[in-house]
Amino acid sequence: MDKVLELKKVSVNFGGLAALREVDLDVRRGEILSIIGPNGAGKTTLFNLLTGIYRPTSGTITYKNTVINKLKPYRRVELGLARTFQNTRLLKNMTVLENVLVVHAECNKEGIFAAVFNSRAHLRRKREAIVQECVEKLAMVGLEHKLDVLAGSLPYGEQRLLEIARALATGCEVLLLDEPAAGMNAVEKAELVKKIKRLSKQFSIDMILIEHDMGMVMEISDRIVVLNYGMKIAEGSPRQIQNDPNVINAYLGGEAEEL
Amino acid sequence: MRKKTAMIAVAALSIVVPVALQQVNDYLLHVVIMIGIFSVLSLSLNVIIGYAGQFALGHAAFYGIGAYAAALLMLHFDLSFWIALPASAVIAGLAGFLLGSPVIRLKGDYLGIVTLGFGEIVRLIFVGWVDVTRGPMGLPGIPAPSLFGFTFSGKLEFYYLILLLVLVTYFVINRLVHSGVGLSLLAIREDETLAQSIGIRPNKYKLLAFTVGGFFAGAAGAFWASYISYVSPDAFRYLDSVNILAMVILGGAASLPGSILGAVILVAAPEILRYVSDYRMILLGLAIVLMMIFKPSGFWGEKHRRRNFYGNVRKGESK
Ligand SMILES: Nc1ncnc2c1ncn2[C@@H]1O[C@H](COP(=O)(O)OP(=O)(O)OP(=O)(O)O)[C@@H](O)[C@H]1O
Ligand SMILES: [Mg+2]
Repeated sequence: MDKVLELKKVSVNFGGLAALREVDLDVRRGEILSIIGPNGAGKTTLFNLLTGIYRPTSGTITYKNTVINKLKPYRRVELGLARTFQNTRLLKNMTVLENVLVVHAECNKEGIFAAVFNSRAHLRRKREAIVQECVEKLAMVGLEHKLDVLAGSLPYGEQRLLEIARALATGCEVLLLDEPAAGMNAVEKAELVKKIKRLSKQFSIDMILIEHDMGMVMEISDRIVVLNYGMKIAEGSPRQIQNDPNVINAYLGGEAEEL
Repeated sequence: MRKKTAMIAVAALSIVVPVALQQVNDYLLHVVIMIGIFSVLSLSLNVIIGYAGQFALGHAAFYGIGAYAAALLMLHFDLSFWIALPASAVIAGLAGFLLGSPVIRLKGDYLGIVTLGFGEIVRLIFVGWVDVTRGPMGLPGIPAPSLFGFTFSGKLEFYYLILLLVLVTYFVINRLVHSGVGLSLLAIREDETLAQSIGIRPNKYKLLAFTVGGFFAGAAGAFWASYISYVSPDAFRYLDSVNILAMVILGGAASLPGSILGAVILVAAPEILRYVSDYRMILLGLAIVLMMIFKPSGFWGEKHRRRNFYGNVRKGESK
């Protein structure tokens, strides 16, 4: 299978702390890959690394056959990498629609001269098409009826959905979800699983998912990677991971029966 | 519909009232013209502070650069006012771009201090570069604009000219902030790190804000030079920067009508308070402090921001 993303012996150090140690990892076309591991294992650090917030101390990150170690975050968005945040990060004083609009490539690239000198009718036509697309993205996560609401006043679960819609509006090919189900109830979680699967299959967006809910991880993942203390300790199908003695001993410990 | 009627009323008033004012007192008209100049200044600073969220404290420098550029172009190169004004605006815009390039890396207090320093340096250049600026003596004899052989001599002509400048500034900035550019600026103001990681280039937009802000402040400066026919470093002190800043804050950051309201209040108030001359700075300071405490978003602030302006989505629309 095609490799979309490939990490080779990637390490990230914060002063003396090694948050990631020589991690090898690849993401394949069309799959849902889950990253699991105990608190502080380095999962979010891995996302920050992929999206360009941190740079690797050593190792290489390859995306679609080019090394992107030093690429700025906004460039990576242009190349098709988008994410959601563990602690939701929205533009709280802007509306649901505006939160999605700002990332839309055409809205984002609207030139200053076009904005000032184009005729109203022309601008309206162009912008209505962009709004239409953004509303469609919002509809994918079920927020199309809340266009005017300020993002900060949405309930927590919907804020997470809005983050997903925003990522979609960048036109991403790879979507990184950092604990998207945190704070959701069982019903919402089930809905979310359906949506993620749909996005993956119908819109062929590759997914990397960080999640603590093991039931959800086992259900949704094509493949799982386990991190512990910044090291990759296991990799494989949900079945393999459930039976991996390394995982059971080193990571799951007492929780083993839960699986 | 009501809005349209109101706009026509305002338009009619702004054309007719000055004529009446002039009958009463030339000085009143001067105050109105100053309100116009400061409206352009606060509108342009609002792009930098209110929209891009960059707390810059040296706006009078761009005003000064525009004024000196216009004065020198008209005095030494015999350029007509109509060419000198846009040229000065471009020069001040360039200054905004050049100042922006290093300071967009700074945040918060540091940005404030560096831009404050920039303002002082520019003023010191006006004072010290005697060969060109004649230092503290200033540059007198700047010609008034003329059009088809008709020279602007009275205050009323200058009034209509500044009205036009305010309208153009308002139109351009209004278009700019209600566009994809404006959305990106707001996003950067709200959360710059986030903006970066969702694909917005903060540096590009911050530079743009400084350039646009400098441009219109420069235009205001050029108008001032020609209106007063004399420029000296005194009009561009850091107190003037603070004054423009206060207009933006008082009126409401990220609100264009607010910027004009701020200019009206802060130009008119000192004139009204003239009889308490010694205390008027104190009173103004007090007013601003009270404002910060009780109405930090200004008289016409964030709450009035038009939501979902992009693409004319109707309120409550849900397909
Ligand atoms: N910017 C930073 N500076 C210093 N240390 C950091 C930084 N970011 C993360 N760390 C450290 O790196 C380690 C890994 O953190 P990370 O956030 O990646 O964990 P995680 O696997 O996402 O955990 P959780 O499940 O709690 O979200 C932690 O020890 C954390 O304290
Ligand atoms: Mg985390």
